[in-house]
Amino acid sequence: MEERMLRMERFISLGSLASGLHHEIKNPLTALSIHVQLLEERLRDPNPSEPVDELIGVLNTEVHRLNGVLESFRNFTNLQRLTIQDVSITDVLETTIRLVRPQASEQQVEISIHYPEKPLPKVPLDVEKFEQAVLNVIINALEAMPSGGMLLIRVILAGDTLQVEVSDTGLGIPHELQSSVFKPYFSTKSRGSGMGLALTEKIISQHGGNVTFQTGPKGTTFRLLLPLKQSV
Amino acid sequence: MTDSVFRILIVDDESNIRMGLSKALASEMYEISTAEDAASAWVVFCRECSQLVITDLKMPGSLSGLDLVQQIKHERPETLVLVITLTERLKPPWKQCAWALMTTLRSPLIWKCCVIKCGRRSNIIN
Repeated sequence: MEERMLRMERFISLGSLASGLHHEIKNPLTALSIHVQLLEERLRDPNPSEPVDELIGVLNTEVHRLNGVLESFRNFTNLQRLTIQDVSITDVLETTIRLVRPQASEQQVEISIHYPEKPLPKVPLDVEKFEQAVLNVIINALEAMPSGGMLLIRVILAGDTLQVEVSDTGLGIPHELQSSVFKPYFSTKSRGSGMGLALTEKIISQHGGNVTFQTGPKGTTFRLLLPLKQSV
Repeated sequence: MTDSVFRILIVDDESNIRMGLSKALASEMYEISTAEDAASAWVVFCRECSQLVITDLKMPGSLSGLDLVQQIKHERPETLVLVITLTERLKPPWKQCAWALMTTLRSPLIWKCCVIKCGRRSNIIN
């Protein structure tokens, strides 16, 4: 019975992944199709009234976008083993934050980072994948504060667990969307890949941890919980 | 607003699809408006009394594409609705209230014919 339930669950998530991928490919493909036809029409016109550059620009944009869709799909489905090494969480977080500082400053978002007073132990992580996981949460936090705010990153040691909290002062996640935030291809942005939080959850689970969140009208906090002893 | 012009509303959250369709259908016979989501499309529809609505199925926001079509059909049942799709067949409940506008058709000419047919059906285009 349990095996049957697990199989059904796998089919359901495969179905929702396929449906999400279909939607993500459909949009750029539709735009490509329309513009290829417009280009064809304009090239056949002996006296075209407008240049073709703009149409070619759209074709390029949409081809890059399709490439991005496939890249994020590959990242999500890539089941490669983690390359675990004991690292300083401070170094990993500082590297990640450095990447988003220009964007944060452009949006007038202040970044504040808090570490526990006692020295942090080294944490077993796949650095590249963990950075990606944290980056996705931070990007979401920044997108929740388009007109400025505060991005607070807190590292907490709790027994055998390390907790990385990322909080924003945005408007929070609407109640009806909260159950979908970790689903692949779920996005409220028309240009978002919808894979960010799904990928974060997958990476953290691969590390033996989990991701939770709390949200309200004053902002959202995502918590990435990691075991200090790696058991994957 | 004269009745000799066929008023078309194009609704899609993808700007390249919205603007591409606008360009493909541009003609003196049509007055084309666009909207990037169902809620703003409803405002445009009420203001301009669009005779043909070409809309996407899935769009972000509190109002879905289907909600929009159902509101339009309830408000003015004679409004023609084309749904932007990659396949020919629409599934219920779309099947009951709209036709499919396949964007993979070979030429914008075919879309134009499709739109002209809609215009004829509403006695706007001879």
